[in-house]
Amino acid sequence: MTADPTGLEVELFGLRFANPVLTASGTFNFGREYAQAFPLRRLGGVITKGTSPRPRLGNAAPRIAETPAGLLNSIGLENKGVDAYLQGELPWLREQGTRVVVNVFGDTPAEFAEVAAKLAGHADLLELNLSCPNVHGGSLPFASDPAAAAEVVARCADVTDLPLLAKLAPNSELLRVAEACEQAGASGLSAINTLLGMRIDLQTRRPVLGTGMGGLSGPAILPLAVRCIYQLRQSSSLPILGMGGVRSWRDAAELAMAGADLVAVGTATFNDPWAAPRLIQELAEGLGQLGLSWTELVGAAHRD
Amino acid sequence: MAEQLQDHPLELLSCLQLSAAKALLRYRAPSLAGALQPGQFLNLKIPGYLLRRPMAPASQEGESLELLVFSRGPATLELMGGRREVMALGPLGRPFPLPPPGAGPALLVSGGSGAAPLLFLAARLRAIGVPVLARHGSRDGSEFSLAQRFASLGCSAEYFSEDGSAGTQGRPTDRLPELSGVSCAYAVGPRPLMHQVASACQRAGVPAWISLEEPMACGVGACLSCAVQTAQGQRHACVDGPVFPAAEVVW
Repeated sequence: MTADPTGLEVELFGLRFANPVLTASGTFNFGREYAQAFPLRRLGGVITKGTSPRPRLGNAAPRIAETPAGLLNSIGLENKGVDAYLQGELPWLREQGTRVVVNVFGDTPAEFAEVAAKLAGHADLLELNLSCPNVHGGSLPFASDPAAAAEVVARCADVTDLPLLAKLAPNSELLRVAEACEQAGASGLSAINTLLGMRIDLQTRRPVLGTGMGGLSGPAILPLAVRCIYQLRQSSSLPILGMGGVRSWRDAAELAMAGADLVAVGTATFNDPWAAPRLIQELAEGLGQLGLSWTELVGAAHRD
Repeated sequence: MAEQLQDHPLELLSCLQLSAAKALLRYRAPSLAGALQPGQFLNLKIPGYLLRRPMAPASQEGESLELLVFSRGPATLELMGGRREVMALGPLGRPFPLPPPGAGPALLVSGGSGAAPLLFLAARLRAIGVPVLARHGSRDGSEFSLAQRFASLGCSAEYFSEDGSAGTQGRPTDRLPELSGVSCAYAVGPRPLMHQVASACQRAGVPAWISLEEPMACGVGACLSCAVQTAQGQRHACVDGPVFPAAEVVW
């Protein structure tokens, strides 16, 4: 065991993370764009754009709208399909010196497994996207049905040895879905995905987004993430990857105290491409001042 | 990979108010000197707003550049209100291709804030000896001074106002000049304006370029917000554009 002068190292799923800060799915593509801004090895990891078995064109434009404290998006999982990424982006990303989490999406449990089966050797972890609100008309067929979610996890566990994180929606089924995923073989939980919102243009009297609704992310959802992660930590012993509105090292520390072992920075990157590496630097300084390591923060809100 | 993406400070030098909601802002931006090409854009970070605002500069000379700001809400009003410094990510996107030096006249057609990249382009075209026919239009007379700017760059410039309060009543796409004498065309503005210029140029066999404005978040190709449809399939305005050959756009 080597000494960790930063206090940020995390050991989870049999993997060492240089720090607990990753970049959230859908905000960082496969990393190549932001590798022009900073070396990706400064990150704990990159969570890729949602990857489906075949290419998806995504949703009608406009796909984004700003909100008072966040962002609505309706990208609709546009991606080139897993085979294209196995050829191009993933081999490159694996050489960047950071942990690679591939976000996996399918329309059916079999499609999830089809993608998962191809990723051995190309990822450290898989995040199963059970909770994208921008497909299936927002009905969340997996994240609102514990049995359906469990089937996705079980089918993926059958075809890969990679650790599986179940990405959950901040809805009323949160804890039941988490429990079902754990029983089906999930190695960890990822929370939270965005929540459906809408904006209406005053002049056209129509929704701003091409699909009407879109997923809300950004600072507005931070307290929702804190609550969901806190509840998940109370009911599950699985490691948690927490995200939702994280901008500062204090936000990250709050999610850690609620129970997140790792955190992801998402929407903040759009405002500041250097948001994640800056947060990591400030987290090291902040923890240094408190005389704490990251792992001592994790779950602190649950201890006497 | 080399790290090429940078945030540049823009320091406000002066503000020329065109109307209550429109202004031409001049900034000092030494770290961007010589880096911008017409048609490229900067993604501006305005304190207090989560999304950056993409804008294509209206000029760059040495250490200074100009932004044409049309207020679309409180964030752009904040810029016009004289915020001294903003951060600008860029240069981003692909620029307008230029004709060879000494080519025949270029036609530039703009509406509203679409004048910005075309003013920058007009200056470049004049610098390589290409004559420019510039047509700019607006709803009213508030942008007449933009047509004067085209003229001051040595363009043959015409202004159109829908209400007839300045220049010619109508739109800049009305009675387009004889295209047989034009070597290339550029159009930036509302979609119908660009479509009309694209169609006329296609009929006349004149190469034309337009710039697509789509809501975007990252500006660098990561978020996939700014999807646009082209003859080559779906593309993203931030990295594949914003400039596209007009003939390739699916209107």
